[in-house]
Amino acid sequence: MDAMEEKEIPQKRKHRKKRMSVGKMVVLDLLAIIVGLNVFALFHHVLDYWDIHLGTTAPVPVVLATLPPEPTAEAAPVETPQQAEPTPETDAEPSPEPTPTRVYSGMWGEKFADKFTEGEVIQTENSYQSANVNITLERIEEPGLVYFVADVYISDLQYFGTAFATGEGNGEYNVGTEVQIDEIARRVNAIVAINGDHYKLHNGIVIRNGLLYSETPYEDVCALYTDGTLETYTKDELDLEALKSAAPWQVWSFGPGLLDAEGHAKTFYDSQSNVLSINPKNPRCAIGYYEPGHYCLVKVEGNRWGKFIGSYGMTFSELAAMFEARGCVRAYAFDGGRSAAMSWMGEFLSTNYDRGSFDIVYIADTPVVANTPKSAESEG
Amino acid sequence: MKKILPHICLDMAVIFIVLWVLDRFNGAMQFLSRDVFKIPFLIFLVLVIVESVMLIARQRRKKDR
Repeated sequence: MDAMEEKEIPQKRKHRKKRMSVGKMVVLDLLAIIVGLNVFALFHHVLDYWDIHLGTTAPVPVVLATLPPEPTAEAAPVETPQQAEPTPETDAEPSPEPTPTRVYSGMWGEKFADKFTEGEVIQTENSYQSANVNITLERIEEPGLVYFVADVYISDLQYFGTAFATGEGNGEYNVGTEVQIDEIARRVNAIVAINGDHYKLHNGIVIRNGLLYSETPYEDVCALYTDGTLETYTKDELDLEALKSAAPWQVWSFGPGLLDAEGHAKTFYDSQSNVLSINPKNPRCAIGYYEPGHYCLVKVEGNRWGKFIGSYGMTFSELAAMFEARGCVRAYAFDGGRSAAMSWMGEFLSTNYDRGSFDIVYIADTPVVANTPKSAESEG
Repeated sequence: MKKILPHICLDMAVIFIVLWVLDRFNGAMQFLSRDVFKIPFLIFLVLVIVESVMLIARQRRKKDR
């Protein structure tokens, strides 16, 4: 028996020697985890990104809304004499020098007549005024905060456009990757532009210039309707069919919506906006709505990779309070952080910009040329 | 196989926990909803089943002895 035990002991010792130490095993496991995470990142951030975002063919968009043809300044003079003739007052008191009747452009040209010129373009370093648009850019500085507000009046919704990053004109949906905002802005002749909802990241409900591209609900939704009203919805509030049947001109999926139904700053946000990493002071891009034809585009400067650049940014609550103080009745946050960017007259404006945009929201002095669904053209 | 499989399961579980935590911080990145997550997650589930069956069989064999 003793001899057998003696034989077994060295065998066990040999067996133990072959075993890996716990420390080495843990290190190897940790290495495997790190390698695994990197492989995941490779597929998630690089290969999957290429596959989904660069290689996918765009779905055929559905036309949801078209804008009524705008009475152009050239066409309108033909109509104005007809309107002026039936009035008896003009016949009764003929003036020696008849003043030409002012021609108003678009749906809100008359409503905001004092904001628009009669045809000439007046441009300064921080303003642009024409017969169609009136934009004033403000750079506001507060302690630890810098932000830009573009106050926008438009005579017609045709001057309020959105564009995708890649392609001609307003670009192609789901094609290409991020492009610098100033490059897209120059392509579409935007006077002022901010980044949109970074739609490719989520492909939520995407309706741009009247065309429906995607209808999977994602977080808060903002709809700009053809009558110029802007409304925000939480994901739970949203009735997709009602939204589609109301013919929205633009729909974004990101958020959060910042003001409640009474125009007061929300104190609680549905959706991911409550998440700690997103809600602290950050660079922001957002849109505010006063009334049809009057909007504001906002870009809040913020830290870049934690480095202070003169502005800490805003929390959603601060952003909402700012919109409320300015008198907006609705406001909605677009993609912020590294995506937040603004361009003015085709030049990049913000200082903390380091990521391109998949889509932009812009105001131009030329009517937006909506994309036409190619298949619909061939079918029709 | 008997030695490596538990480590693979362990490592993958840790990776998925890391991704879950990241997803809590930034859901917009869609760490848990893209195919790039779903496929390895399916592989992980299959491996866990295989490992569990092997472990149960081993335990039964030990008991039989």
